[in-house]
Amino acid sequence: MNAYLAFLKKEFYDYLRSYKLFVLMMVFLALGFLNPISARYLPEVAASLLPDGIQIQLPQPEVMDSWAQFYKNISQIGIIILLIVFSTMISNELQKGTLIHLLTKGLSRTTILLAKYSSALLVWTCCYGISFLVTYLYNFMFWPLTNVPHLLLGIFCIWLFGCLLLALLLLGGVLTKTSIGSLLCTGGFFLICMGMSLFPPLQEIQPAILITNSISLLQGQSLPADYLVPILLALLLIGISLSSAVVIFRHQQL
Amino acid sequence: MQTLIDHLPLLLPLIIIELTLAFSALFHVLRHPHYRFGNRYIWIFVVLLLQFFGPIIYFVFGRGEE
Repeated sequence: MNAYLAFLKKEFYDYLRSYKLFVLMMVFLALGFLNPISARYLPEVAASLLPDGIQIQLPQPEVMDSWAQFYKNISQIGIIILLIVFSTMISNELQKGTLIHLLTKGLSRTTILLAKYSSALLVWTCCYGISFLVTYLYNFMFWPLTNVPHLLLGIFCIWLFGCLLLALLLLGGVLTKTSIGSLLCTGGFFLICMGMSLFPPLQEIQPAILITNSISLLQGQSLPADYLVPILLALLLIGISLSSAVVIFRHQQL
Repeated sequence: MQTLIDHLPLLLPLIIIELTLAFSALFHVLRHPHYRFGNRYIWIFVVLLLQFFGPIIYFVFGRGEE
């Protein structure tokens, strides 16, 4: 346990010194501001850019537009930047050989991987939380009287999918020892999910539905029960990829 | 233009974040002469012109060892 905490602390120093934490915080903060503001003012800006004399009827912006922006921005830009920043989490140390010293001092390989995963998870949770909080407060300011159904579950779905992608990133890093390899592993998984969504029976259970479709939960077009299987599948996949990463890493020549 | 000025208080947080990222990356580029690839002029160009992505690419991939 002590070794785990010490390694976790080392990881956080690393994030601070390599500016990773700073970059992620800034990006997620910016995304948090971007969602409500673009939802609220984009129709007005678009109208003002039209030449004089042309009148078009633009729908009144609603709180749902802002949450739709949140879903779109976090699940695209947010997650891509998260993955790019964390893609070097294993490969950097393996290529520079900085883990050897720690391993010879008796730190177990399982501890290293688990500490790395939990530090990435903690950073993702904090950044995502900041983004959510900013969007939520702005939405409350712009549309004080609107209530959104199943907001927390919808938010949880994206968070869980982020956790799954981080676990796959770790597995990819252990398998290929390069940052490109970990990104390809994660991207490959996403493509498989997209491929599964082409077949009707698999469409409903593939985990990528958590980010591509859970906005319909907020819009009231689907029910929480529809997401039970994808959530369980995502949890199972996190377990499988973490444990296989640990098993592979324990038998690997560094 | 008037619309932009009216909404400046709301856009300000975004502008501040973008400028913080761009300038912290710029100072880092100027103070550290070693990069994993590319040279100083390419990186100055990248961090100032590519909004949001430029500084991220620099900090993650371009930044050399201390």
